Amino acid sequence: MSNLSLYAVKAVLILDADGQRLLAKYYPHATEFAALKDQRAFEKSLFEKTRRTNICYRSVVDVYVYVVGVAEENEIILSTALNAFVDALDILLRQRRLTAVVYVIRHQMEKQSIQSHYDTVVLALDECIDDGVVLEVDEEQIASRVSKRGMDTIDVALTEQTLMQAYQSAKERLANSLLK
Amino acid sequence: MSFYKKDEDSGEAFSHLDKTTVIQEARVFNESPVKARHCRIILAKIIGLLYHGDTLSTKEATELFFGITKLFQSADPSLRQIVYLAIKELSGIAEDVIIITSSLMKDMQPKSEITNRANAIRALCRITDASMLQGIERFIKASIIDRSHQVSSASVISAYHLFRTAPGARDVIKRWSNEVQEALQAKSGGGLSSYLTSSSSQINVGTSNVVQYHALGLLYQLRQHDRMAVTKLVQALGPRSGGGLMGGGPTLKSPLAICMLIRCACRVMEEDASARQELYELLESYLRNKSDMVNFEAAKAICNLPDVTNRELYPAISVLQLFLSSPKATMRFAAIRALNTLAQHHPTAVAPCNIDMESLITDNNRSIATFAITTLLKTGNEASVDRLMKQIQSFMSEITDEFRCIVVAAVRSLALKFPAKQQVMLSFLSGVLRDEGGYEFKRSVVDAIFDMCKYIPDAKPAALSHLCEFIEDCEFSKLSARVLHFLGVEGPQMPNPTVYIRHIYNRVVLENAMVRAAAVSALAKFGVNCDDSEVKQSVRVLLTRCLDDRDDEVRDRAAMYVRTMEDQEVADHYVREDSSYSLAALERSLVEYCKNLEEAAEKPFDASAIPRVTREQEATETLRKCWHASTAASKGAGAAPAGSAGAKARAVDRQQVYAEQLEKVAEFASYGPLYHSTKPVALTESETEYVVSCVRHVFAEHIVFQFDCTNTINDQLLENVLVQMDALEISDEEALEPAASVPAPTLKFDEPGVAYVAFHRIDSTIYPSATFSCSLKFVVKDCDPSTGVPDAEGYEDEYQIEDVELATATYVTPTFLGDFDSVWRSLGDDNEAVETFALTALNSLQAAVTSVVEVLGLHPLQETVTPTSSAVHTLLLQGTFAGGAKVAARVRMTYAASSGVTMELAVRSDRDDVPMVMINAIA
Repeated sequence: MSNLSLYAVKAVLILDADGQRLLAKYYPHATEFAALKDQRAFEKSLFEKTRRTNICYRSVVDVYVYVVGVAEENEIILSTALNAFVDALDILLRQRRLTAVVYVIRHQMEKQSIQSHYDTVVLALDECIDDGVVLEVDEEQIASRVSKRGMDTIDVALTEQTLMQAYQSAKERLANSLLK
Repeated sequence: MSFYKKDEDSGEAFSHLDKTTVIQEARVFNESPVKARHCRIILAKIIGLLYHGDTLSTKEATELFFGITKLFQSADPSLRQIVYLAIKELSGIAEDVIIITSSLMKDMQPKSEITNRANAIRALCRITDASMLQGIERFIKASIIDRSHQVSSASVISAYHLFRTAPGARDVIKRWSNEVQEALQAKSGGGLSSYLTSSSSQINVGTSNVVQYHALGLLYQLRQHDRMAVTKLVQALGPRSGGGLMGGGPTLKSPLAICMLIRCACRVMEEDASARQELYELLESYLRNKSDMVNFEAAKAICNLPDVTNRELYPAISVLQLFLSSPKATMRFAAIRALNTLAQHHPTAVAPCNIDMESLITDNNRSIATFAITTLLKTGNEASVDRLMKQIQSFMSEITDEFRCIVVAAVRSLALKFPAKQQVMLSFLSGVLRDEGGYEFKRSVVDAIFDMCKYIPDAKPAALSHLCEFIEDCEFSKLSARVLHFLGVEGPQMPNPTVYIRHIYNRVVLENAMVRAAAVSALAKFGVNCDDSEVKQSVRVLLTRCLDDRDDEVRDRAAMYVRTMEDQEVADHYVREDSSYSLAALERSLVEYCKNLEEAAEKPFDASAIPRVTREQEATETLRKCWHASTAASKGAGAAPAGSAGAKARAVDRQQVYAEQLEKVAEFASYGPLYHSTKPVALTESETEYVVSCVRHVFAEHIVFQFDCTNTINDQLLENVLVQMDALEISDEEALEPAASVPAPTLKFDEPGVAYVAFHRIDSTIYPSATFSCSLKFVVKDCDPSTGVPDAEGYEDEYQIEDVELATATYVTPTFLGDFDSVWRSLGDDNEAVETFALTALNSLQAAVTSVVEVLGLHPLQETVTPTSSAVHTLLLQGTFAGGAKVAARVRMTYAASSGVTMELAVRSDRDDVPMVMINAIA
């Protein structure tokens, strides 16, 4: 029986390299995952295998992004949704990168940046999938619909000192990544 | 504090979210003026809490929610967007969320920014309910046909959610059908208008037209119960109708929408065979669509068509074949998974892809490789088996147990398919048995070897020796016990049984109590079933040694077997039995028996009424179950929980469920034990207003008709639902009198209810057959569509359903009594009736067999079900009649093209009236 409802996606998960949750959104029609315990168990088995049927996943740097679909769903639809979400995030997080050139190394889509831009990530997800219904599959569209983090009125202008700080931390990170 | 520094802080904070801290921080919402950026981060933290799996209490959520309402003071769009999201997430937990309606309504106005409008609509529909919906109906209707796809999509989806979650809102939403229709076509089909009005073309630049997908989904949802409307929808949206001169129908541009259309088309094809050819062409044309997604959906749809032919499959399979060599893992996976399912039933159609699939065995995505192997195993021909097995061997060590089980199941069915290749298969299985692995995996391998033994006699000697070797160091006691039992069953027939006895006795010396007990039982089977007296003697010695065992169970078994071996007859009865009780029925009768303790004290338990099954039947049953399990497993590990539950549900004994249900009805308490229940028969089509099916229960002197009714109209409540049965035809007017009629008190929407009608057979020796016309009588109360509260006043109504038959077969329980010849002989010819019939209407022996089995309701012996010759056949049947009398029937039939089927029916029973009743069933 094919899936005649629009509810194609059961859950979207972002797990880090150790299988810990960064983001786990289970949609209400996925009744088998109602209890937190079931969710955790599922994530564990998922993470260990990361190849279960009808789950599309993409690993980007050090996080895993999963889209869990209804069993009989068209796999290509799921992967389109997943790619749209990931690519939109990529666009969004890269835009930040352009705002501060010094920061190039830092702003890739990785655990750290997902955590520091959690607001952007959740909004992108919201624009991509609405309660299990695929809302938009065009990454540009999704990205354009997510608003940027605004400034508090008291935001400090870029002073020489802050640039120096940024430079310092960038240098440290570069050193770290080279040492790895 | 700097911009970057702040980011770093927030990153830290998000990795260690703490509920109390976040709630503390949320106090900042009350400050004025609103610090947009800061508040946004805190809102993200709240959402993060929920997404990490923390739970908020209703009180906490409500407090946060009220804090959030203050943030509407700020007009900052970046803050506003996350406010909407937070509202949606909290709306399920917090109370009084409805107060925010007016703020959201303000944002929905056309002059607001598009993203704000879309999000406001989505949030609003989360907090609203059926009663509020009428107030905002106008806005939503307008926004469904909004120029912006974003707004339009958001409103369509919101309507969709409401339709699914709030049944009361359905009627309101049904009124929006025209607007949804417009959303489906307006800006996608009318390319012209969007070029003319520059503003709208700007808005929709680069959209994926995904709104069509949502609109189509909602339209289907609105019309799904109306078959004609769905058919029309599909026809209007098909690709050619849009390109015609009229240009009437909209063209679907979004690939997602086309996928949805394909699914609707499949639904129509399932229900309406006449539309099949036209829609097949539609599906076929979508195979050439430029989107992969659509190609795949169409191919999959064709593969899933009922009774699809190889010719119809051909174009779909060539598309999937192309996908197999795609560089994208998802496409390879999707294609191989579809092919795998298809190979279950159409292995020859999939065979052309074999070469492509073989190259996938080395795919670095292990799930693709596993699917490729199992598919190949299904489609493979005898010649390719050797090569294939070699490839799998190396592959097995690299995958997890779950996948290994799937592969083993596939190897097993392949082994049964090509018995000539048993050696290769067996050496493969014994090889993997030596590998490390968990219980499930080992069990599947052992099961596969068992099956090979059972169905491929040539494989037996080698298989048994592999099993012997396996129990030498098996870490799972359960498996050891099973293998020992199996050796006990199969070993004695082998030419050299002493080899196995040595292996088994080794277990007695070395293993734990459970395995020792199993080993003792296995030894005893050798003692009884081997004809060689030397073997018997040595088994006796070994069993005597076991009498000193430390464990009670082992000792008891040994003692029993030492004793039984002395008496051949006892031994035959207890050790060599070739049939066993149907376990579910035995359990039910025992429960019944234990309930009435006083009676039980006087009367011993009567096991004769319990249906028996042969080892053979049991074996086929297990085979069937295994087959189900393996199909479920290969269908996708993702669906595994559902699959195994389904198999279990099937296995649950229906009869037991019925007996429990009937026990609860006071009227039937005096009827005694339930003899037999028939299978349910549908009395209505499955999509009518009220769906009814009937089950007939036979008691000693009563017949109970059970009507399972479901009300499919959501704004009606039925009360006092009674079934009126009038006899149309009856074999004996005097024989039946109405005894009771039990109505279903209420029938709510979609909740099944049961009504019963009982008849008393006045003369218990007459078994009347009859046809009844039936109708439902009830009181209808209309329900308020939004609240579901029924009106106080109702009106009476009646609903005609199909006729119910009471046939002779109703009284018959198909049971296996034992070897046919001995049963036939023991019944003797005292109660025998023989009659000859000419069945001119039937045009083959197979048709005659099928109809005789159906009319008599007896259990056909398995080997006589399929006629081997086209001219002459003998069908053997057994069963019990009305709860006790044994019945055996022999049907000899001949077939000639000129005269049709001629058959001689001979019935014997241990009760004198039964044979005539059975004969009359045919006449």
